[in-house]
Amino acid sequence: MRTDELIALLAKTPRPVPPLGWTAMLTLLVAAITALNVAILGFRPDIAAPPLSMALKSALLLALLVLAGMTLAHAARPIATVHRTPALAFAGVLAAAVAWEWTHVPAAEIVHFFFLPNFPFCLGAVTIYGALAAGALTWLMRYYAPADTAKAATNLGLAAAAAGAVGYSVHCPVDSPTFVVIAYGCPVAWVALTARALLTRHIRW
Amino acid sequence: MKAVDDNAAMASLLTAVAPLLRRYCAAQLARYRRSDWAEDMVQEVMLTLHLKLHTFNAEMAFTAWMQAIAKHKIIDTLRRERMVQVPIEEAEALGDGSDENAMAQRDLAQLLARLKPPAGEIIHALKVDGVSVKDLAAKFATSESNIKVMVHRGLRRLARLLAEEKA
Repeated sequence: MRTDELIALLAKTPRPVPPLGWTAMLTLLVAAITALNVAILGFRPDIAAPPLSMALKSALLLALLVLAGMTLAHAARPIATVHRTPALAFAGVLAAAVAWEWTHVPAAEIVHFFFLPNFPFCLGAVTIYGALAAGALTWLMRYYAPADTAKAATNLGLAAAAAGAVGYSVHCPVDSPTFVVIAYGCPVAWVALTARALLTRHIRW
Repeated sequence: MKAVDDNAAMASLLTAVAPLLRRYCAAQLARYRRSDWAEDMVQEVMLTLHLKLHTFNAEMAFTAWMQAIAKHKIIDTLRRERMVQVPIEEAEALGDGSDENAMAQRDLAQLLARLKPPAGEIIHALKVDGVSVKDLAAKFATSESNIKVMVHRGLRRLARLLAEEKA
């Protein structure tokens, strides 16, 4: 086929319908994971009168999700742009929350959270929900055109695990910032790294 | 009416970008001695532009977006065809100081040493160092034709030695 014939053909072909946006997809995923989590594990006991610490935990996890979603949306384009300031601001807030806890709460009380059954449960649940979300995001990414597929796969894993963390957090009764950083941070990190290793080849375009 | 306008806009866009794409693809593929693939690549990029149009937004420069897609497609195709480009600096480094080059030098020296002196020295001077027959004749106090005969016999003997080693 000659190029001018292809141009004529493409001009006549209807434009493909744009795929679902990243914000819509992540919102759907958080809703689905939360529903699944509540159906299986239920809400945390104090959900009717949530303490302020839960609001802080939810805010941190939602900020992570928004940040990961923004990064994913940028990485899904042929020209990827990097915005480091929000990530640095988030890391600063997280570090400040952990520092505040270690200066105001006895160390034994913080360390105690890691000996509760919630800790391994948290690691497992966020990983499983993250993996499920990563599958859905991989399907969507095939309709996009990431400049760097390895980076896009990492961001995809990060956003998926963040969605899993937000969904699971309605069950988890521990609001300690140190606990959140470790028990939610570890699965987020390994889901992101596993996504980089396994999903890069599946999002080539 | 809108659909007709859209079709016309798409046709004029693709017609306008075709020469740009053709030049870009030809220039990129020429680095891999694959200029003949340029037209196929232009068509593949156009198809991708059509499918991924939603990834463009007004904040980006259209040409940069289009070139990013073209670059991706070219790299993808070359990867599929397992084409590897070695930067010239690396190629020179390989040629200059590689073990392979040093081994070849050692093999040649060993083979020449097995010839009747001074045939090995004369062949090395003539074929490797580029010394002229006249200069060699003066150096070895003999005639130019005698030098040529020694070189001819020496090369025949080298060929036999190599054949024996291969066997």
